[in-house]
Amino acid sequence: MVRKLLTSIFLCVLTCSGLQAQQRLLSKVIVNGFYTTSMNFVLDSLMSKYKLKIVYDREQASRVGISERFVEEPINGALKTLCRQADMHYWVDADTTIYIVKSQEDVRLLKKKAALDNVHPEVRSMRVRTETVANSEVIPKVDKAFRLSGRIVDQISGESLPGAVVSVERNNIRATTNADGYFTLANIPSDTCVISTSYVGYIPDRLSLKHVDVSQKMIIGLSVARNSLEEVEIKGKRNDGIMSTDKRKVSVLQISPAKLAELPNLGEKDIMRSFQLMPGVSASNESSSGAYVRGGTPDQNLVLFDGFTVYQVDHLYGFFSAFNSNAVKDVQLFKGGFSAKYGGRLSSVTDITGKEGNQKDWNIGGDLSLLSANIYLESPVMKSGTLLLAARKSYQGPLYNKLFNQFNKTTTTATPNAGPGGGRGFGGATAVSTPSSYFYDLNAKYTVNIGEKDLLSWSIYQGDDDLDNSRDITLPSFLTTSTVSSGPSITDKTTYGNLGSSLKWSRRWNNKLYSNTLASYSTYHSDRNRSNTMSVTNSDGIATEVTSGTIEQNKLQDWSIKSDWEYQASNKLKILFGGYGSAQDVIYKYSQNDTSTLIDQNRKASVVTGYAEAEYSPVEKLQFKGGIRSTFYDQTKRLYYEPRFSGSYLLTDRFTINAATGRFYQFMNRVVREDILSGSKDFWVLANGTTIPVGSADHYIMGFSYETDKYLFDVEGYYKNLNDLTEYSQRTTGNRRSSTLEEHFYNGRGYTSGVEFLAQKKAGKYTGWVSYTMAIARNQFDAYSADYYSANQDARNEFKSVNMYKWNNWTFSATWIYASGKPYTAPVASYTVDNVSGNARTYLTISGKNTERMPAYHRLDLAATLDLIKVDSRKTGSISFSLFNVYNHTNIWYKEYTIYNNQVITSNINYLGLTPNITLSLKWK
Amino acid sequence: MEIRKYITLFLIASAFASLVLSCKKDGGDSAIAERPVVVSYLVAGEPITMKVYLQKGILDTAAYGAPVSGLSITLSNGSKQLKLSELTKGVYTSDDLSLVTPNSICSMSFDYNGNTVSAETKVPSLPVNFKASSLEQAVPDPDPLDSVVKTFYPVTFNWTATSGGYYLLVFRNQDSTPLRIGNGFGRHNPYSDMEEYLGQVSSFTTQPMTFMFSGYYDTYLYHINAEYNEILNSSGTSSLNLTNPATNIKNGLGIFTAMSKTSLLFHVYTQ
Repeated sequence: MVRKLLTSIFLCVLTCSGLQAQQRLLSKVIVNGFYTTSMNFVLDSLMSKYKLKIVYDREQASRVGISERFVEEPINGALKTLCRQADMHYWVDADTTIYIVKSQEDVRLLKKKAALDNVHPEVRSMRVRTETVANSEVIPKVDKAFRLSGRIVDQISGESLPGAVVSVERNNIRATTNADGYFTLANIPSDTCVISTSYVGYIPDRLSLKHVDVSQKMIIGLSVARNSLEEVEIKGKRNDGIMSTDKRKVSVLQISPAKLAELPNLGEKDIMRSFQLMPGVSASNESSSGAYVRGGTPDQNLVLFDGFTVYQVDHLYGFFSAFNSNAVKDVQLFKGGFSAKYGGRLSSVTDITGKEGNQKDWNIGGDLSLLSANIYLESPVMKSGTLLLAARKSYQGPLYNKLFNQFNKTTTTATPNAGPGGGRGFGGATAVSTPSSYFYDLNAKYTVNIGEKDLLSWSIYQGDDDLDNSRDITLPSFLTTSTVSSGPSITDKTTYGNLGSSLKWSRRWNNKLYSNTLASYSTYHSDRNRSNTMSVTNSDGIATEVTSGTIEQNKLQDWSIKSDWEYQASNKLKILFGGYGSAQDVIYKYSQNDTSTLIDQNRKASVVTGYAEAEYSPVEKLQFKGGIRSTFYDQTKRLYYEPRFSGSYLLTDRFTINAATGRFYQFMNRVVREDILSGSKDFWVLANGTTIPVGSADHYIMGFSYETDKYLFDVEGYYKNLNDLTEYSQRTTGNRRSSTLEEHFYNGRGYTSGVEFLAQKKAGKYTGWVSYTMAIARNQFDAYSADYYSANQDARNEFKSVNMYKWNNWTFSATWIYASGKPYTAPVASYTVDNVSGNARTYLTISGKNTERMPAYHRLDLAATLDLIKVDSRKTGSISFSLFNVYNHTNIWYKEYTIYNNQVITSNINYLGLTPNITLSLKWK
Repeated sequence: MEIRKYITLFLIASAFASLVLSCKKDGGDSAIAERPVVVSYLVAGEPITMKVYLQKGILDTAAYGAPVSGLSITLSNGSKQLKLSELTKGVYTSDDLSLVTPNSICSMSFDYNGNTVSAETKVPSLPVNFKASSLEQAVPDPDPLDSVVKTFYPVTFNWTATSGGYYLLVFRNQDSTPLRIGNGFGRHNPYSDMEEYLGQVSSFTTQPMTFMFSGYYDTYLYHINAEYNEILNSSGTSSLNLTNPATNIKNGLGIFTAMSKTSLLFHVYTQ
């Protein structure tokens, strides 16, 4: 298997290194000539002879000697030869200007220089393409204040960049781009201003408006930040890193999927896992990709993918998130106090925007790791459409098997008298184990611009896990009789996943009004079949199959429609409003032995929501947001009001203070099953107002941040109280054939509180951050205790250090995580009781819920990533080597208690030890 | 200067927040390990027996904890009160048959370690109309010499269930060394009385695997309280789902429940 993998990696590298096609330089110039001089003379000669625009550092080029003869050589071939001799790259800009640079970042430096020297005045507005907008509202360029609107896009693919910040320098006028990358700045004082744009993981850009026609819609292209050989002096805030926080927003984190490969990973570039490196998101849950945000549980985190809710966010027992990073453009995590635009969850929101695909040229690429293979295709479709297709599937390589065995190990240490799901021993008989398990996911997105104002996009996501531990038991020959024609076959199969689709229509009605309307469908299913089938032949020779065991089925369907509107009244006032309607249908069935259905629930519910929010900035330094969301839930027939407030105040240019508060409701709960081996450990239920009440939470957040050009220091404190929480437990009562299954819903309350500290270096060769979170999460459920106890997810201290260093085309990263041990429940004594018929049973006594603490969790992960950069500066891929848990620290997941010889034996179930991984990412162009 | 002021402010605020958050370890109820275990099944028309013993340390290999001797245990049904006498160490009994009567509420209490340990239970009514479709059950030999298993004809037990009543069937073989039916794969467990927890039903039908041993069985139908099942139901075995087992004993653990029974004699033989 390993050999096959290595061969394929080798072949891929070979194929790719053979790819020399120039895609961006479309010039048909043929070069002839013999040069034995310094490079600057060669370039000057090419410029004058072939009327080319080439920008380069004269001093640098003069130090390079060239000795080359070109005969009928196409210009791209000639440039390639020259650059190789000079150990440089060339970069072709949108207007066909050619830059000769050491690295991509130097393009900016050259542009600036060119602008200053006035050598190439046209370069100044090079990055700005203008398009005529037939819009009478556009204020013509005059000496008084004017309005400017435009769109921020990726320079290479043309994809819009949502959440990018556009600001006017020496002035606090700023705007954030919306979901389609549009922004509007009003009341810009004079036409001599410089505007700057920044987006996480991209090189920030400054643009003088001097030569720009402000009556036109601007399209500003940004490029992904890569290795910088020289420290470039750039005025303004930079962020070359992987993560950003916006000081004007409260508790928002944004990550750049484009840079995820640089972080150490466990088999996959993982979006959800990378958030776990941020303050406030717990990092010690290896068995869940779901986000434990500020003491909340993963089901209190709303996960939206292109607008539809995703209910199953992880693969393979929770080790991997269900999102393919190649299909993701932008991810934002709202840790609390979020806008009235979002609702339905108590703690946080993860808003994921899918990639639209390259608007300019088709491309194909993929990743191959020890866990999975991943392939994507992006292409323009006709004039105004784009298509993205991405697929990922795991294969049973060494890494997959290691993870899978992590769980099977649990099985072998399970109690000899364990109930369903535990006992897998079949004493005396041989178990022929043929586990075949995999996960896959598919993403497809088609986006089309209809005219200037409308954009339609259709997105589909499907992800599934198939865990199959079924096997046949071969009975010893002396046990086979003519009646039992074959050994029993054990079915142990769990399939679960999510299918979602959304159709979105965005319209920019004018410079002030923008709408986004979406119809979506999302379905989650989890099916579990654990049964034994035995074929029995009767005296007439007729074979019948007898099945015994449990079959479980959960299906959730969610149809939603929502419409979000934004009205930018002025720089001071922006109004958001919209509506949301959703119908959910949840089926949960638990049946035994084909025949008896123990639980059969089918609940339907619908919610109708309306919201309005105003962003108001009475003075430049103060920004205030106030909104209200009201929801009607048909199961309780009540109207729920959720007021939300947040604000920020700039004490100085660098020092910002912010705060937020709000009320949040949750109408559905994810039930986490106690049986850890069940594959999909959870299923969803809808609140009914009685046994499952509608949960509510209040958030109180306050923070300060101090930001310089390269550094960010941020502190946030929060308090969150939670009411009407629900926990669930199933108890099988009775024995053998005559059992019943009881459902218990426990209701309680809780609170979480904490302080998060972050110090980040955002730019330069070394980037990274250290964060420290001190937090507390306590619950009170009458079923467990009359007092508050530490919630399962409570981790008092978490320290994270994320370090990335760039050296040439290499990026080295190291992350170290330390977290206080999780609370757990331990037995303090045991006792045995005889039942009426005299059979003994032993019980464990506990002193209290979660009174003990596991040892601290810590691990170090390392990674080295080599960017494969072509001579024309484009990145065609990367190879990354990664080590997870480098010093092989034993982190305990949970403890299992077994009664053996009247003693209580405690065994530890551990998380993963040292795990290496290699990932190769390549793209065709 | 101004910045320094803000940073100082910020550090003070952080330190304050840290102080607020500094936590102590959750104590829990450590006294629970000291509580005695009480086991008593009160059956109308039978002598009263109550066992009281201690819990044991988790590494203790003894089957039961040390018996608690010298207790003064009082039993009452509201109108009548009696004291149990200690038969052997930790086993308290009374031959009085007049206290546990159907529909009465029985309570017990005793002092232990400065606490009053007490419990209460209602005696259910006697089961009525308990009968079987046949008083004999032929069980085909599961491992016949000619490898042809004969047809099994089930027997159905019926009774009149009271509304909300829970029922339990216990099969107790009268032989001291009952004879095993078949001797094939998987048939090596020693004999034990069989308990079929039935719940709120009014019939029970036998199946081929119900009986592993032949002979005469005393078949008891118990009318029980729901608490019997709740209390005897197991708690989890992992630190993720561990809870204290339910109990109806105040300041103690275990079970104090009443039940009423009726019986049939049932013959099981190998076909």
